[in-house]
This record gives sequence, C-alpha cells and structure tokens, in this order.
Amino acid sequence: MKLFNKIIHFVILIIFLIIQVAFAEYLGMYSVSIDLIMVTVVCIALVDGMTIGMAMGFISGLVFDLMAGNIVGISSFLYTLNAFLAVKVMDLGIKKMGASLALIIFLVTEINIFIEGLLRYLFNFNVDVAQLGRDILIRPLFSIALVFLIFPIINLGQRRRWVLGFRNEEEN
Amino acid sequence: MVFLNKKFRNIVVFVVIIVLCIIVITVSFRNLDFVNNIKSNILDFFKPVQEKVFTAFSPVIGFFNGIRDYINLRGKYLKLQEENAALRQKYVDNINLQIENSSLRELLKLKERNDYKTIAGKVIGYNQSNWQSEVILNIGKNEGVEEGMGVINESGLLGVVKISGDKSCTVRLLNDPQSNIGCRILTSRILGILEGDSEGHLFLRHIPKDLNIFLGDIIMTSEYSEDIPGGIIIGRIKYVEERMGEAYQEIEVEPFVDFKNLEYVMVIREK
Repeated sequence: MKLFNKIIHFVILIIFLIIQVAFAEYLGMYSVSIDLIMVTVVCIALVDGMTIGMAMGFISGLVFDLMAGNIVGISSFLYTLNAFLAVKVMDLGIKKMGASLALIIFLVTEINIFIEGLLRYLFNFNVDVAQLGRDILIRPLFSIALVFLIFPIINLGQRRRWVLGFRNEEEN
Repeated sequence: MVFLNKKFRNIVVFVVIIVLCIIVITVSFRNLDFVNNIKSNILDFFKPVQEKVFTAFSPVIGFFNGIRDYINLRGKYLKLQEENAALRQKYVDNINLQIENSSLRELLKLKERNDYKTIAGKVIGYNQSNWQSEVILNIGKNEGVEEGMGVINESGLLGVVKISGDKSCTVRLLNDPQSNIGCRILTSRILGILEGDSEGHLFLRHIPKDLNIFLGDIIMTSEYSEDIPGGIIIGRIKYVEERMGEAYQEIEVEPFVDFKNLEYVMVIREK
C-alpha cells in the first residue's frame, strides 16, 4: 500500500510537471511564476519522508531541465534542497496543521528565491532587483495558495493525517 | 540509535544527490552532444502527452486570454487608429516607391529575391522564467527542422530553434536572456545585435552614440545570418537613451510578436 501511494505520488508529480511545462506562461501574475513542481515535491517530502521527497525532487528537476531547462541540474538541485529543508523545518517539532504547512512553504519558497538569485548571479545571468523583490513578495503567496490545493491530494489515504485547519484538535 | 541511523541516511542521500547535481550541471555546461540527444529524446517522449494536455486545456487558456484582451481593448483600439493613419500615409509612399523600384530594377536587370520555404508547427509547451524564454513545438527533425533555424509567425520573427528532436523541438524566443540576433534598422540601415533580458525585454546593442536613432524605426533581420534570411520584421524602437560614460546607446525594441500568445508558427527551412 505504501509503495502504491508512492507510485501514485510520482504519477501526480509527473502530471504537474507536464502542466508546468505546457502552461508556464499562463501560470502566474505580475511576471511572477507559479512553481507547481516545487509545491508538489514539498508535499511529497512531508507525507512520504525526506528520502523519497529528495529522490522525487531530483528526478522531477532533472526531467524538467531536460524538457525545458537551460542548465541541466539546476532544478534538480533546487527541488532536492526544497524537500530536505521542508522536512528539516517539520523536524523542529511543529504541529501538523495548516498554519505549519503555510509556514513551511513560505520558508522554502523564500529560500528557493534566494538560492535561485544566487545561482543566477554565479552563472553570470543578470539579476534584476525589481523582479527579485516582486518574487519575494508574491511568489510565497502563490505557493501557499497552491499547497492547500495540492497537499490534500497527496495526503489522501495516509494513516497519519494532517489537519488543514489552523488548530490541530487531535494534538491539543 | 534507529533515529540516528535514519537521520544519518537522510544526510547521506542528500549529499549524494547534491554531488550528482553538481556533476550533471558540470556536464551540462560542457554542452556535450549526448546531453542534447537526451534532451531531444525526452522532448519526443513527452510530446504526445504534452500535446494532448495542451489541446485539452486550450479552451480554458482561450477564455483567460479573452478576458486579458478585453481589458486591453480600448488602449489597443486607440493605438491601432493611430497606426492606421500612419500606415495609410506609408501605403501611398510605398506605391510610389514600388513604381520607382521596379523601374530601377528594370534598369539594373536585378533578380527578385527568392522567398524562403517554411514548415508549419504548433506550440505545445512554454518555459518562460527569469532564466529563459522558450517554447516547444510539435515538429522536429522528421519534418526537416534543424538547430539554428529561424521561427516566425504572421507578426514577424519570434526566435531560433535551440534543440531539435525527431518529433519536437525547443525554440529560444527573442526575449530569452541568452538570445542574440543580428539585425538592421530599416530606414537608416544601421546594423546591431538584438538581445533579450531576464525581464523579457528586447534591446538593440552596439549602436554607437554618434548615430541618430529614431523612435518607431522598424527593426528587421540582417542578411548576414547563416540560417535566418534578411528583411524579416522584428519590432520597432520604443525607447532610446544615451548614458553617461558608455560608448553605446541604450535602445529598447518593442517586438511585433506577442510572446504570450503564440499558437501556430513557421520554421524557416531554407534561406
């Protein structure tokens, strides 16, 4: 059953990957793009564990870069790091509830933007400060909205369920 | 102990994956042929699914595009009215020039330029971020598409084929930060290089300060490119600035192609 869930999660990840590539242009506002793959990888890492999350992050990032990327390996690096960080934040002992999920995705998105900017700078791309500012402000909001749509799909059929409200009655 | 082991295992997996990523990035940077082969095979592998997904969601995209177009309608109408008036004037001038041109050709016995051949394709994927601006087409080597070929639509040049698989290809759009294309200003015949930036804007580079550049001048491809024929329109000059201490002018170009609304395109097969 566990293996079946993981396969299903991988299929979901591939579907979101195809949607990301097919509709990247339409997924976003104010020139800030939505990262469906990042949110899905974080959700999988939180549900299936760090190792599975990192492996799926690496594979999806690699496929994404091979399909539509400039430098192969950058997305793999970022998504692996996202899965690692998400579970590390969770391991700090926060409760499994909606607010925690929003906090995790907020932190991961901000770190992602920072590392992406740093890599862009290191690989000699122009770093646009205005765009970076827009990303820092708007992208986490998109990610938080998305995580509440994607997480319930990934969390379906799991024994240890998350409570997506802002109070976890089970643990109180 | 078990907890420690699990924690240790996670760290090992993390380090291994990061090392793998660094190896992949290094290999990718060397731009080896086999990386491009893998890329084209992956494109071909996902093409059927991607095409289906794109077609299935097309009505939704059309609906949102419709809303966007409706919001911008008034501004576009006023702009088109202005453009129409200018074009009417140019049309009259053009007829005079055509008569003059044909009589001069007659005099010089010059041959008319051969038209290029094209392959029609459909956009089945986008990848537009700070890093790049690309689209994926449903045509590839089987249809005769090769790397470096120019891609146009009814509004003008939109990009160059970057990687060509058997059944699909990726096109680097003009506004990609790594795009650079030789071009010419229509009226003054000045040559320059058109480059994209991370915000998706187009800039005409290497135009010295002492040359006069006028707003609204048309930019077209230069005839010196190996794969792209000259004279294909690209856009018009939107903004010119002379910066202190810099040898060249800062010239922004407004493309004729709407990069956010690409559907059917044509790849230029022969010059």
